[in-house]
Amino acid sequence: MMARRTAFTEMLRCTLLGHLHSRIAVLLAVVFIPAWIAVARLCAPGRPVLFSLHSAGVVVHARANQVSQVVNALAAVSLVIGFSMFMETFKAGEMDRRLVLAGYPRPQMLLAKISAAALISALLALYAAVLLRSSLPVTQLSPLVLALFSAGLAYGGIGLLLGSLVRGELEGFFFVIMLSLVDTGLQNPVLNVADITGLTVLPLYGANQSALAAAFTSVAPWFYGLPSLAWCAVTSALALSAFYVRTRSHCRIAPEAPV
Amino acid sequence: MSAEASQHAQRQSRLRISDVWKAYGRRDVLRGADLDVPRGALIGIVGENGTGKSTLLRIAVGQLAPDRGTVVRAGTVGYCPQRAVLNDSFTVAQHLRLFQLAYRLPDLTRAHELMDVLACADSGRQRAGELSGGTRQKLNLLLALMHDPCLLVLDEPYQGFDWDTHQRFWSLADRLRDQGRSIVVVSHLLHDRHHFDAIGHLREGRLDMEEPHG
Repeated sequence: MMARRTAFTEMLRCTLLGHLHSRIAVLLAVVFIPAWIAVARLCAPGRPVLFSLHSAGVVVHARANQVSQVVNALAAVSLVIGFSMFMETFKAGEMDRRLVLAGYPRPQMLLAKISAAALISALLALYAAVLLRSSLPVTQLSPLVLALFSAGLAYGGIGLLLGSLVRGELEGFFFVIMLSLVDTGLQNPVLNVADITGLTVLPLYGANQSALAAAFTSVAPWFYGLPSLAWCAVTSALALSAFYVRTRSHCRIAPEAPV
Repeated sequence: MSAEASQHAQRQSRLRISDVWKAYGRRDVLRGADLDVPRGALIGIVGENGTGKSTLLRIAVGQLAPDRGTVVRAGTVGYCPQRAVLNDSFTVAQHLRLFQLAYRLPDLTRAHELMDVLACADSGRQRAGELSGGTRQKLNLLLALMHDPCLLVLDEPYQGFDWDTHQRFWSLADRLRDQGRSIVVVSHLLHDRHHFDAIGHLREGRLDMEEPHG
């Protein structure tokens, strides 16, 4: 029991330090999130928009550039977490398989990676929420942090799954970018495409609804964070299954006595 | 121990590969390869590029499934892949710590002894991505040896070693063989052949065993 806990904490420590030493991931987190929010603030029109928010059950009036800032913050957090988790899982793949063949417990290894994604998501969610608050009058800060956190978790799970499945870096990058573009683009009320059926199955649907409600209404639809958490749970479970398949041993082990 | 029991112990197989076949797409790489590695034997595997040496070794350690045939192993195994498999973001010390946990070792005494034997500079705090090619390969080998396994499967383990480290590696391999460990090494170098008890020549997907001086 103790050994398994140590296997978890040691892998978590190494994974977090690995993320911290990834210059591109740190640069994306520190620069890209405020830059992407600033792009929305400066480039989106200041005209008022009117949109119906299912999570809060109300019609919201807000400025287009303020709505776009919230949507861009969600996109930036999910992109950074998705990239980081994909890169870490992809680059560490061979070494992880070697560790498992040497006897490292797989559940602890995967749990440590998911926990690292959760910790980084929490940190980036707080950072993005503070940036948003300094730029627009956010009605409820805590639900906004939670919405951004659930967005990070959803894409953290997707990054983990892609890192376990795809063969090349380009495929993973392309998938994360395209999914995030479609996800946030289709759900952006400013672009007026919010009535397309099937949006509810997108990874950021719950997080988007929660974030907009937290930013522009006094309603806190907590359970709207659940679909994004479900995305994280399902993708992580699939990543664990893929990892089990890839790291199973193919030879029969005889006892130390004669074969 | 009686003489018969002693002889029996000497004959124990640490690795037995029987009639193993493997194809990549329509290209057959292994076509009924057999290999028997007894206790205390140092076996060399040679062959031209692309004849399936690394495939055979990956099948031997259970990393790859054969299309047909069986692989039976006894005891612990240490596998050193041809290309250094490390995490470039982790330091040398983190690699040792993670493999210590994987092998369930109480401490890293043997790992540090091996670092001395292989003349590894004190590079504990360096990240694997910052190491020179030779030091990466030393760490790659160290991770396969640090738990003192019964069977060592080494795929060109001395690539990038200087001559002195190359000699140190063979002294270590000879000593481990004398202690009863079984070692399989893929080698390209003609001047290494005298180290082996037997050499398996991989030709057309099959292993032909021959004496090193034959």
